[in-house]
Amino acid sequence: MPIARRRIDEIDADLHDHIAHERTDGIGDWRIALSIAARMVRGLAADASWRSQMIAHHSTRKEVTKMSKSARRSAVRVALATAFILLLPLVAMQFTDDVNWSLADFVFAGALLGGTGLLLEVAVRKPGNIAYRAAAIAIGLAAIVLGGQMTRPASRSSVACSSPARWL
Amino acid sequence: MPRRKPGTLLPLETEILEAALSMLRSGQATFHGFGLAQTMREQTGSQALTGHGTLYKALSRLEDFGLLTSRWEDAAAAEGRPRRRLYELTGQGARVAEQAVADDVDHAAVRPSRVASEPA
Repeated sequence: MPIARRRIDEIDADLHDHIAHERTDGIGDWRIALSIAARMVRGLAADASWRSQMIAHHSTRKEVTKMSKSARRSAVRVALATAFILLLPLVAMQFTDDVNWSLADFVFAGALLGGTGLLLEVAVRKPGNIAYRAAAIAIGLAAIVLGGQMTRPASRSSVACSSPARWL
Repeated sequence: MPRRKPGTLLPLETEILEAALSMLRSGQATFHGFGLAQTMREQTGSQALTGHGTLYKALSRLEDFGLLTSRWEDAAAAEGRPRRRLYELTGQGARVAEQAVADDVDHAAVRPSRVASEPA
């Protein structure tokens, strides 16, 4: 699909320019990764509708079935991994008062883990694309750091640090 | 995404054309995606850059309308970094952009800019 290739190459150049520009301005890699992720998320709806148009116009029925199967498998993998990780605090809450999550905390952590998983899936599908890989790794690291906060026991005076939605 | 009335441009598309016209007037006839996103951010006073999907989809539509043309940057000019896709206003695109700017000046921005031809 040459049009899709063109879009990927175009975004690749854009990400390269974005990173180079922000580094020149002295912005740290963390903030750059977050701004790239935010930009990707803001364009997701438009990108998804463009992809479905391209698939409908340029693919055979067999290709469409193959792509949707592969996307479904990725989504299931990410959902299962997210659910498994979220089970840990849920189980921990049954045994200790140090972990005290509300529904909002689970939603927040679920969105963070699910988003990271999806980005990693994209990065794995585009092994040659350094920019996607860099963004996925940066967000993955952010998730690990936040995950570390999650598993750290709360101080006696406050249980807030064991509640992810309050970190922001 | 807002619904499009036949023969009109979406606000984002008008914004892109206006930014492209502004760059053309400052002597920059061609532009690339990230440069355009930066110019639009400066012009609108926004903090955030337009999302990748939104920006490149709009650029593609404007190309379909015949308001922009594009080509890949020469590999030599890229100097090792990924090649940029370079966009340029067509004559018709420049006219539509000038009209949009005039509409803004007349405080008539609520009336969408007219597109001379529809995509196939």
